[in-house]
Amino acid sequence: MRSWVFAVATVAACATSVRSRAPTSGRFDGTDGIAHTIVPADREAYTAVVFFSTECHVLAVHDERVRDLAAEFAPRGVRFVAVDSEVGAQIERDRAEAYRRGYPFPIVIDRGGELARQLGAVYAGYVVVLDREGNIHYRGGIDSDRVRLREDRSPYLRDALTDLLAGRTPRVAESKVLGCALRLR
Amino acid sequence: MTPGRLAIHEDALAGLQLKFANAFGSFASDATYHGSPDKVTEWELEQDLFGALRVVPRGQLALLIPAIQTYRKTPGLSSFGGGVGDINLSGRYDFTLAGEALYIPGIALLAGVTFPTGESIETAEDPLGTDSTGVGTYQANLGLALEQTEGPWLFGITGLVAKRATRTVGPVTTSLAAQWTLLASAAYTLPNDAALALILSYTTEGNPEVNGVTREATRRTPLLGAAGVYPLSDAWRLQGGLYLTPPVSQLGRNTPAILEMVLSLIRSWS
Repeated sequence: MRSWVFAVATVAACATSVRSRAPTSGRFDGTDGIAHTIVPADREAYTAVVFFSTECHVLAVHDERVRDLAAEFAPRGVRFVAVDSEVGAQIERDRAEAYRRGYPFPIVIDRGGELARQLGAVYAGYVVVLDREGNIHYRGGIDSDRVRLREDRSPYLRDALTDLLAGRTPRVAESKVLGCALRLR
Repeated sequence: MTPGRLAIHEDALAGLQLKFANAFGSFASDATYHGSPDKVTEWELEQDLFGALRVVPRGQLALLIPAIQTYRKTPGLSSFGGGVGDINLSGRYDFTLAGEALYIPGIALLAGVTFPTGESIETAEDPLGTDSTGVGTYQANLGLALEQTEGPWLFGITGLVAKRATRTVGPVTTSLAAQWTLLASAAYTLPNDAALALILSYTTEGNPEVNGVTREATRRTPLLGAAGVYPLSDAWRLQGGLYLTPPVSQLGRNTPAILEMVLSLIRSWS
């Protein structure tokens, strides 16, 4: 049954023409006062783009795991950046949120939600991993948990980053997001 | 229309729902409320098996199979009986989702059909009709649901219309009027996905026709409810609710006043 549902979902996803490459040129205002591109800088191999919502309790539950992943993979060349694409996103509010949540990475503002649309982000907690050319290597959830965090979850993002840094194709390149709907309009 | 509604991240679910209802009074045709006479008791127990399946990304189907038992006691007579009730198949399609847009709410079309798989009152053998478990005819439902989130709050308004097929029993042909229901709800979601909700619904039904002649028997049924959901894990959750027909004259007409308790255990797959 799941494979059938997934097949239908895949057809639907293809129909919405989500890009396989991310835009490499745009810059987005960050809570650290810097305008960021979302592709990796010279010394970085990959960027993990985490779509953010101040209201999503599912993402809030994952804050510690995201912080841990960022701390673990930053020395290995992976930059984390959170993107707030929601209507009414405010840099001051996101700056306070980034501080309160202890994010060791900035939240950038995607005004108009264009980046979310280009990358197919519909839910908070959706992650896209890209390389310097903007090629997308992973898209989906942080892991298989929603709000009840388990030790035996499927750590999709960690596995994808581990595989990519080892020169392998991610064992799971696409996964389901269990977060909240992003308010994009 | 069933307790088996899939959340946006769920592909399927299955559950068991237990209901207990006590009819403690009724509203007469002049809308006057009367408490049940002493030594008169009516309890209804129901166990529902239900499931839901996401068939397209924004569309889901649900099936509910009820088992119903009734206990009635009047001075000098009491009875307990029941059986399989009327099976319901329903669908929901979400054109937009709550929270997706600032000004456009979640908009969903609801449709369903109830099959006369239960025992109708005419074919019941028990003198108090406790083995009657269904309405004896097909019922079609159509509805529109609007929902919007605001932070942890979810507000919803649902309008439903239900129409039962004309029935003929012996020389009597009965055609019930359409039943209209307006349901409003406000729910608050906690960080652990638990939620509490207040629900208000009001149902009206016009005059039926018997052998082509309109009978004066309009119905009005108000209902107040408080419900909650508690996730035992990401896959398992408990749902419960307490529903009451306010025993206030003029609110209801030609309808029993009930207190109903509902408890459901649900397993979902994402």
